[in-house]
Amino acid sequence: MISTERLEQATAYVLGALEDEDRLAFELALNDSAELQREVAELQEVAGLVALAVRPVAPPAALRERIVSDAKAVRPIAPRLAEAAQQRRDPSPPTPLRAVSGPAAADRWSMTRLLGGLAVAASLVGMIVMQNKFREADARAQALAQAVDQLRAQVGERDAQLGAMIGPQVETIRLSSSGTPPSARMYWNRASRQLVLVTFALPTAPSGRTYQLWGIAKGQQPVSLGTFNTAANGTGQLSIRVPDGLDIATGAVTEEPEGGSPQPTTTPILAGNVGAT
Amino acid sequence: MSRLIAGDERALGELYDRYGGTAYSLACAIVPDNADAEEVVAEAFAQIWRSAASFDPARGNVIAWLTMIVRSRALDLVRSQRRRARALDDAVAFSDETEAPGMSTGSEQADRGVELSEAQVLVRRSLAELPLPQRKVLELAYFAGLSQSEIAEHLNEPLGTVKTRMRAGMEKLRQQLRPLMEMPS
Repeated sequence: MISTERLEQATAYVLGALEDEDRLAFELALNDSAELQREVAELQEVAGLVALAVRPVAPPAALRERIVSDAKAVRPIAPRLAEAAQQRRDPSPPTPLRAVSGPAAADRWSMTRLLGGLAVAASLVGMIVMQNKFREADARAQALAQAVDQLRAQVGERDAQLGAMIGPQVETIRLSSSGTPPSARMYWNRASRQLVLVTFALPTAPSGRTYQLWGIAKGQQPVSLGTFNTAANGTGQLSIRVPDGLDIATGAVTEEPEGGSPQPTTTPILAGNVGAT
Repeated sequence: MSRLIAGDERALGELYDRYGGTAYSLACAIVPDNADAEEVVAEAFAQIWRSAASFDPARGNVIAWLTMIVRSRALDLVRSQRRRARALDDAVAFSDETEAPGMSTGSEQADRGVELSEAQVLVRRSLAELPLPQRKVLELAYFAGLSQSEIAEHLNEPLGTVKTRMRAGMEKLRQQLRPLMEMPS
């Protein structure tokens, strides 16, 4: 049975009218209650239908084309699907075999000179080919050395991240939205002040926008911990050093304009309390 | 929706053909500028395109999902542009006249010549039948993006009263709009 207070909060939450200090706590309660999730889902449906009451305004004719062409730029149909469809409609004909004609009869002395010339030419070509191969091998070796250096740097970075994520002094905080993907884990090492955020199933922020991580101490304003974006598969990562003196009680992720904001300007997509998991 | 999730942009075009007008009208009701409304709708459909796989039909219908995304984008834009004060003045003016900014509650004069679907007629009638104090609170939250405490301050009403009216108004709407909802009760 949901309390009256929670029902009022659910209504306000759906309308985006819940106070900031109540919203994070509500979202955590929402995450733990299937009944509350159903209530919120129904209210969201009601709120969505209210849009049907607005005064109709005809959109600009070019808006449709813009939306569809933007979609093509973001996630085009895979070429192999288009090719496969094309092949089904118009399979390419088999390549015909070409007839090979035999050599013409030649003078024996001319043949010797010809063969000798060919051998010299072949040697020269061979030498040029070998020189090119040595140059290619040098270039590959240099590229491999650079790649090794880059990998060493990445391994070093991963080691530092692992250090922040593993150990008895590390707290793991689970950030979630209202019961459905996306989600995230925040690894908070108080001793070293290192914090690693890993997100799952979080769609890439649109052009001109970014995700921003906030650390919130009890009773304080959110403090920005950095911005990040996610890969196409929804995974994202942020590794930072938390400023001294910030005792994080809650972590939250919002979507902000590119470059981030001094304070959150949108409702948190993900939120979680330290010590809740 | 399955075609949308599969990456068929024609499905996105069809979704726009079906709901683009509603989306744009809603955006115009919230942001003060038609050019901004166009940006809001474009961004909303881009978000829908990217996150179509996250739509769960068990949690409601497509129009509700789509309009909530449009509204959220529109309110984010209004907040970031700090034009809330103007929208608020408009909202109060319209509410005093029993009609919300960009909202029709049954008056056919503003929509002369425009055919309304049965769903639109039902939603408008349901809103019109709400007691004015409840409708005011919902309008200020929905179109101006005010928090409960901001609504209380603006209307010079106790916060508890605002919370109760908001809940009661939405509950009445839920009962009235049940025939349009896809979620089982």
